[in-house]
Amino acid sequence: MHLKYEAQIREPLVDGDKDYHQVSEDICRPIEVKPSRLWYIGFFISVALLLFGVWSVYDQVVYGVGQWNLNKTVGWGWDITNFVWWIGIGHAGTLISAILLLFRQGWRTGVNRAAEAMTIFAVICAGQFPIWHMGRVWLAFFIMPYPNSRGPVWVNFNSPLLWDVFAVSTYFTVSLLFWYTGLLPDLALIRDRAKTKFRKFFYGITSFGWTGSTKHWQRHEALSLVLAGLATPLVLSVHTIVSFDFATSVIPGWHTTIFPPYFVAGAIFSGFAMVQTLLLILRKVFSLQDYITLGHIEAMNKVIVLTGSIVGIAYLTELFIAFYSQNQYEAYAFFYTRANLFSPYGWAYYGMMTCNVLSPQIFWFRKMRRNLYVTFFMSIIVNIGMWFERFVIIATSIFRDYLPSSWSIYYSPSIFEIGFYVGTFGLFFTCFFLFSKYFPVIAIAEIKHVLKTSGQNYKEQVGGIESQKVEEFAGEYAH
Amino acid sequence: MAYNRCIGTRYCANNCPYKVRRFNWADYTGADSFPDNQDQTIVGVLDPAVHVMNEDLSRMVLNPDVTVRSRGVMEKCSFCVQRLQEGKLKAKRANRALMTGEDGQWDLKTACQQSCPTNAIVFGNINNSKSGISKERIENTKRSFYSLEQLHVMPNVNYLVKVRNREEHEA
Repeated sequence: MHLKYEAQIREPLVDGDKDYHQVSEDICRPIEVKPSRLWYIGFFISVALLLFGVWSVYDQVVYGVGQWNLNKTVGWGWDITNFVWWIGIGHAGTLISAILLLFRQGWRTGVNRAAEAMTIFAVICAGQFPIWHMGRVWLAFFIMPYPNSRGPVWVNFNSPLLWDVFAVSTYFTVSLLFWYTGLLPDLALIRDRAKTKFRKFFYGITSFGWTGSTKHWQRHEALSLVLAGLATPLVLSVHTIVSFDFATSVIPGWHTTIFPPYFVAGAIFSGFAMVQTLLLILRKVFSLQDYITLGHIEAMNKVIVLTGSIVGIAYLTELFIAFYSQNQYEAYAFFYTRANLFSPYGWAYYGMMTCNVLSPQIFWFRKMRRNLYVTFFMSIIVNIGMWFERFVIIATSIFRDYLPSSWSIYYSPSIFEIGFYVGTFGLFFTCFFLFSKYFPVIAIAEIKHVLKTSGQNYKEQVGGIESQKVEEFAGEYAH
Repeated sequence: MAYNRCIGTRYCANNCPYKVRRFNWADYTGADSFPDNQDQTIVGVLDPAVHVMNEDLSRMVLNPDVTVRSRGVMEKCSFCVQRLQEGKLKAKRANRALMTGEDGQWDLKTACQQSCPTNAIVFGNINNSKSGISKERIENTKRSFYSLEQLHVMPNVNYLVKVRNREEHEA
């Protein structure tokens, strides 16, 4: 079936003695049994957090944005910080599903489903912030360019905020389609195994009449490739456009040409950290250690140390350019406000440096990359660091810019801003808990696809292959 | 500013190098409390200060010539657009060009200009070389500057530096 030959020294992607049936059993089990007590506890905590967020936003919309601690100088605080943070987290899912698919990276099969789900939920959470931070959210539809009877009032295509609308909505649409396309064969599998009426009905509808015919597979493969092709530029473009919100402005600390690549690297960095956090819990709770192996975790840690170092270089470049340009405003932003431990927000800058640049360097060591505790701890640290990065960029740039007469008092969030952020965690985990209960958290069909080349037991069976002559090997496996 | 188009993202205020924009963080003026504008069964009980603005007497503190901005809208100095409009109409009725300081004739003065006790503020038509502002600029070429001119945001407001007796200072 496969012309692909995989070296025996590569570690298997699927551990244990698995056949196709065993794969289905392992991954469908969480869907077909009652959720554990732990699942219920987690789910209800998430819903409670979500409700806290709903209350915070409700109160803020009723009263006005004055419920937040923003002021005339700091117009964006936690709201846009959290928007950029969430949207960055989403990027790992798209990178895993699209770019790694095009690069034929077999290890993506174990993690892509959960990572793509994470992308979708993270983008949903991210989308809340630009919507609810509007002063008049009931007029949010003004950002949609469509023929209307209001003049017609047309949108301003010069505004990076409008580019954001297109970038994020395209990203969400493509990610959702991609995720769902991959789900189809797996949903059909659950439908075929279904023993309850609900499951028969629900998975019957959601699997869109998938029969597994060759024609279906052919279209499925073609569509997956097309969507991967569409999603690949999005991995780079979405955060580039988000960075334009800042890069195109005139504020020192925002007006920086390095932002697009720096934001994209940071997005992938934080995204992989979030994937690690989720998958380490998931593989433990659902006993999926055979599918999400140490090899997978190590591969993702390599991405983390790479992107973390890129981000580190970007930070240093920024500092150098602030010095080299001899621009007094830049110098003030970078050397007085940021890289100065004793400035009002110095703690955030040094927190960012420690979490994002210094601590991921531990992953140069193989032992650390394969250590679950270190990985879990680091995944949290990296996401704290990336939150600091967005906060540093947004708040420390605007709170003191050109004219000292316009400088603001120290900005710290109100309970409504904190509640909104906590609420998006609730939204994210509510979605993720529902996903883990009702959808296969690992792409079953794709695991089966790589099982015979990269499964542990199959690798052991074909262990003698390397002593064969090339002609013999080709003759045997080509047909 | 077209207030009725503003959705309140505050992006313009963030980007303003002078930070002169002001946001309506809450419903300060009662603009939203006009009858039926806000149903209190939906939005909850509104602050009494808001309702005060529904009374005819208290509404007299509001300038009847200016739109009352609702909450969630960004605003900035409009150079008293209501006075500008009035002045233009006045000139039009008299069938002549708008006078902003030409031969000491004023069809309009902005509120800050009118109330400034030392006449430090001049507003007018910079396209007319005889207007008050043009004369002021021509007479003070060496003294006038634009704030943060290097950013090239091309503001309409210029300032005059303080007059210093440099010779005495240096001696």
